[in-house]
Amino acid sequence: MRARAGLTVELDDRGHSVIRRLRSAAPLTVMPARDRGGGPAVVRLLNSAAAPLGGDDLELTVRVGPGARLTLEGVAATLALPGQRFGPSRCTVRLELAERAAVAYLPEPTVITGRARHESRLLAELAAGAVLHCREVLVLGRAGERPGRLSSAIQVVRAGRPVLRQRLEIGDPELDASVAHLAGRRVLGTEILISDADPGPAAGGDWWSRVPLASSGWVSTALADDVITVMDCLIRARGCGT
Amino acid sequence: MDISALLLADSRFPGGGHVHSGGLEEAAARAQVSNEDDLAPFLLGRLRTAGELAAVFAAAATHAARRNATPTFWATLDAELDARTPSPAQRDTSRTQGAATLRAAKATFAHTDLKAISTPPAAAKATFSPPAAGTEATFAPAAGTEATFAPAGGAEATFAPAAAAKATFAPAAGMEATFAPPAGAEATFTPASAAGMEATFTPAPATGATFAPAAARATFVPADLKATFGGVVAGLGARPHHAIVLGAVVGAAGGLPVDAALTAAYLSVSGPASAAVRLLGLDPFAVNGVVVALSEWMRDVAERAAECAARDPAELPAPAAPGLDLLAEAHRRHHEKEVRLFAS
Amino acid sequence: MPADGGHHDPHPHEPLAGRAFRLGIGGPVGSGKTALVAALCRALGAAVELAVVTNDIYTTEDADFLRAAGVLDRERIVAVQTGCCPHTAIRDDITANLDAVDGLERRFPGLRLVIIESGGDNLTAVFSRGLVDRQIFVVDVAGGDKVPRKGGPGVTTADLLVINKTDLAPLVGADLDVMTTDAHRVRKGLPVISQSLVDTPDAPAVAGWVREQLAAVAAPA
Repeated sequence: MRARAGLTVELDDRGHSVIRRLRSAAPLTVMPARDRGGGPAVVRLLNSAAAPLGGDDLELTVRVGPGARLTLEGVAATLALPGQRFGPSRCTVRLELAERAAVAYLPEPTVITGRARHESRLLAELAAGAVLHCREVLVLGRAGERPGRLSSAIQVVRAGRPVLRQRLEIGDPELDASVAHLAGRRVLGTEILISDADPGPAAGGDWWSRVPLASSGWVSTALADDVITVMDCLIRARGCGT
Repeated sequence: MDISALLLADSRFPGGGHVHSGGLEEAAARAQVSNEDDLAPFLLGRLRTAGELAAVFAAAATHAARRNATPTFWATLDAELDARTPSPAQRDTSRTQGAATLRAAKATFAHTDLKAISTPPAAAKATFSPPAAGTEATFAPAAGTEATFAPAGGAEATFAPAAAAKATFAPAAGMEATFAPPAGAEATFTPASAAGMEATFTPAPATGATFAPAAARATFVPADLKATFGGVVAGLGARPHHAIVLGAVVGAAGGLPVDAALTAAYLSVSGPASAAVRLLGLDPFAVNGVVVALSEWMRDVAERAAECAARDPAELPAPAAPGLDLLAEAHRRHHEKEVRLFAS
Repeated sequence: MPADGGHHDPHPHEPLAGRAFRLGIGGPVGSGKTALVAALCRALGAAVELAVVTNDIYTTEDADFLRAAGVLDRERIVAVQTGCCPHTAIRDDITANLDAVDGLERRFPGLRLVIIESGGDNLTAVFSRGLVDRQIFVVDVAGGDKVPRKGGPGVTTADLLVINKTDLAPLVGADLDVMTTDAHRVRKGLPVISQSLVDTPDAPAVAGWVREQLAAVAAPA
């Protein structure tokens, strides 16, 4: 299944962030949440058809105008399920942030189920002064299950300068088990905050860290055997810079 | 493989590599690696993440050096590698090693004798296999090369020049050959088992060439390595990333992207392997066996890196290594409090 | 005992070109290298702007000793990581030490002398001539009076050999005369100084030799 969903958020005359365009495309369903009046526009990402399935090619393009703010959140754990058809499932989220736009993209954890073959990409293009807050939590299989395959890429470019480019390969047992890669842990959490603010010094524990990127912003990483521990580490990392 | 790549891959090359463990010291301190059996998966993971990243950027830098890239391009390559290295400890280690390798390479390559041991800088792509009568030969100059190929009688030859390449190669019966790729050519000339052959190989400046005659009487006229090398390193900055220096040096010396990529891939595991011998007292024979067992992976990583060497730097692969990043950051923190024998 | 004269330098050096003079101090573990460094800092520190790089295996131990002795500001002592190979770090691949010296020269533009202390050597260890301008090898009488006779590059080729802890000779049954005679024989005219930091805490003879080296650099022939 090929689906193209889209979302545009801009500032209105009162300076409120409002949704100008909202297009769902099954199985990618985007739903506006309550209007908080003056706060960021809130949009929920629903998994209406237990997507993605093998062979699916899903793409969500999000445009946020100058000064506008958007929170894009998930409502349930995403399952990357085994495909019934040929080829891997593919999901691309494009974020285009104009000057001073702010986006929080906080999907729920992705579970790489047994026979999944999934490619996910987050491509963010930020203008100067834009702020991006993202979190990705990957779970290697359901309880007692070995994970399928996932290739997860994140690319952030800000004012034409590369900020972060990472591609993570999951599902090769040798690689997953290596201390150099996932150290045999079942859950990997990553959170980034790209802004002009001082990212603060590097901080961390044995299996988590929060580090300043070379150009701007910070990224935190946590490895653990369960989602709760990873989330705790990410919360702790978030608090480190303040 | 180019001599420059072998020099850089040698643990005796004084580029400061011996004080870096590539996360091994931290992994050993946590008892994540304590014997040869633990070492193998650690090195495999390292090769397929940090090793691949280093190989990719080394290959891209070789490609760039062979084309005398502008300072702007080197700055772009640098920023792209920064964006693929989220850990500041890893960035700092890479730049420390890069600066040290550059210092050593400058001193080494400024030596005029190096001309004798290095292949010349260059650029067309020509492959030529044994020019002896009755042998099978392949001559495949790449795009940008104009080529003439006149094989010896009785030789079975494949000649596949790409459009607009310029090269002349005329091995007649009796084996007298002249091969002179012009500037902008990348050439491999490998007359093996050419007893009684007389060959002249005169690559122009800025031409990438490999010349490996076996048992042949050969004249080899390399371009001015010092000038090319100086031009390349001037664009790198004071503290370039290690992988970029590796590639730039190999490229300036006339080596190919795959040479630099293989060197980077090899160094990504040989350094930690050596650290394991020193820190844990592991059996050096067994440890070298672990490294050799990764041969196919190293070749694979290097070949894939070389395949994308000409890409826009933004499009280069970006393999992540969360475990190594966490180990590197922890090592940096522990450095301040406890004993650490390695700088990384 | 004064330094022997007539020292021919078999390794002529590049001009210093504004950088600090680099003095290597090597020798077996326990021979008194760190104590000698401390003595030199006391003897020379008032007149010569100096700093110390230490290659001791445990990063802070030597530096702490010097700091505790109050002979040098904390920031003028740098410890380098040698990757379990202190000999490699001073001889085969001097990168970490060069980086440490570069860092000190950047931070202290007026620096005239950098003392680089090795991490404790066997008799085959020497400093690379690419790292140091002159080197001192320190042995002590308690290490056995046969050490000079054994030779090895450290004993035979160092610019100065120091036989340390002479006050202990009667206690350990070492024959000081044998040591010095052997040392002169294997060193073929290179200087030898015997000293005891108990008797002369500021190592005046060695400090004098170092001053001569600095003067030679300041006013080349």
